[in-house]
Amino acid sequence: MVFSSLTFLYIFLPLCLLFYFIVKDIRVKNIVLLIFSLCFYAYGEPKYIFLMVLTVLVDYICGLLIDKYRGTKYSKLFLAVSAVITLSFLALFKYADFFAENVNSVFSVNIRPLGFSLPIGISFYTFQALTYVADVYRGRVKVQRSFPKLLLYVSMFPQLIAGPIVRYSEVEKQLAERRTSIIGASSGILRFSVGLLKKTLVANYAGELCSALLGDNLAKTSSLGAFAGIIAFTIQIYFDFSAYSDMAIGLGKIFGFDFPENFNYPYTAKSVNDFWRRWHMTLSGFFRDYVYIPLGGNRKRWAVNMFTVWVLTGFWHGASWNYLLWGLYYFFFLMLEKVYIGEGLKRIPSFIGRIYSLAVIIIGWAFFYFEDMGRLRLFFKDLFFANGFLSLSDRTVITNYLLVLIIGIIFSLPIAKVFRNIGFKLSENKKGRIITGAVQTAAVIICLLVSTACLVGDSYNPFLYFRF
Amino acid sequence: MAAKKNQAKRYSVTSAYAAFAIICVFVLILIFFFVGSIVTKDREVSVLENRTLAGRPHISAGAVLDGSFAKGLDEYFCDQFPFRDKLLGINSKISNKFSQLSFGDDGMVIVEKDEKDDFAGQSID
Repeated sequence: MVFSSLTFLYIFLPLCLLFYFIVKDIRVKNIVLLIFSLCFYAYGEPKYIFLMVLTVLVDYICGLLIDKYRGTKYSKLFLAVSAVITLSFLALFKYADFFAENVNSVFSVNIRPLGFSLPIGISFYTFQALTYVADVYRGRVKVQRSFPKLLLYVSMFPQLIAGPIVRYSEVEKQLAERRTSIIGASSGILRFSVGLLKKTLVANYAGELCSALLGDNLAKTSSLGAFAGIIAFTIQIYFDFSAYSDMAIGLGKIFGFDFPENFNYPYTAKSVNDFWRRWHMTLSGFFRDYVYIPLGGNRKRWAVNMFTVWVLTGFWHGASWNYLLWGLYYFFFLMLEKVYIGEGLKRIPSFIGRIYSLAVIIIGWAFFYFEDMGRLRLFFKDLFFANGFLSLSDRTVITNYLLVLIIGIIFSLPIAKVFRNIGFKLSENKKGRIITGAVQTAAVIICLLVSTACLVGDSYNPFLYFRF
Repeated sequence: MAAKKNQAKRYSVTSAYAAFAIICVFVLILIFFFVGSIVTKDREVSVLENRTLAGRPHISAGAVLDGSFAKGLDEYFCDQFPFRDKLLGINSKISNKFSQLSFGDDGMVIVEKDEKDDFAGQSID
């Protein structure tokens, strides 16, 4: 099930909230949330629910064993067992066919592909489950003796299928004890509603513009058309993915959970390094704390460690060569900054750093967008005037979608921060608080109704990050 | 740390009255469409869209397991959504603001009449 569907908004969510808030005991609340989460996952593709439950079961048992044999060599053995099994599910369902295809073409053999469809959210929940066993091993969290609680942690529907990647340590206490405050719930509702609008309005229209320019007509796209197209994708992917995180964090708040932030105005980054501290923060944090540092971090073979992390980051986004290329592209720029230009970037005026970073990011999205290398080449040809500077048809398309480009660009900047600061200033006196409150309430109504209209208008639109 | 603090402030509702109002409107909107979809009668055809609307999907173990029930339910719920025609009206107004052109089923760009003469430099009369 997806958040941006009428079935979720007006059947699933009302029923879930009703049952959740009708019961008083936290243990019963957890059971309600667990049942609804499993239904959420099973809706539309029930068979893979067993895979998820099995993953959690493996990590639950290994967690218990790691704890039991703490201080002996077996502890490490069970950590390895759990990591191997958990990651092999990911390998089998996400990468096996890609691997088979490439082995077949290189060695001219004929390995039959398994033909599994990608289980929804497997890349996210696999990592979440791994943070649990790794942190039990390192003694950072207590072992969880209740299987339903661990299953709830992994399967909780707000963050189940497209992040943020919540670490077990971040919600350990809240699984046993949490309260929904009126302020918390209303902030969550506000955030959820804004996220829904970001997705249904900005991301979807930017997506239309992008496919109009970079889709079937790519062979005829002009230079400015290709540029506008990749800008549209830059807007689409940010609004799509950050909207999902907004909705996840907002829903979490309604249920009394504090999920980690995932985005912090990534397109205002002053360097590529800065971008990765602002974009999909929970993923880069995971790779830093669970791969880079255990490998030796900055102290031992740091260049090799960094290379490993960026190969993994690339492939995490999809089983295709273009994602590897995208990862290596960032590895190149991060190395460049670390070894040569990083210090220089800090000294020059920040707007130069911002322009440089944006250029790297936007070109980077081209590697991400085109899974087919031939089309990627075609795109760069387009960009360098293969079909002239601007064709009339591209001009028509761009002018028609101009509004979404403008809105997308404005709201990628911290302009919302300005409004927010005005809000906080106003909140200092009573009259101001009434105005801010009225604006916030109106925002919720408008966001929900406009999103509902958009959803009625176009029937089905899954999130981009569902592919991963 | 400053960034984190700012993050936490994002979307925060400061007054208890506003919080109460937001929760109320949210719950009311959810209830309105939830109950509305139960009490409104199903329509067979949409005059506005000139097509038959999806009917109630048949539930069976097989349909639930292969996902076809979920798909059917999504289509049915969307087609029989309360105030569907009004919402479609709002949607087309938004759509006109955000994209003045539409695409036909065959991928052809459909342009407005007054723009036709400069479409890709070709006369399309």
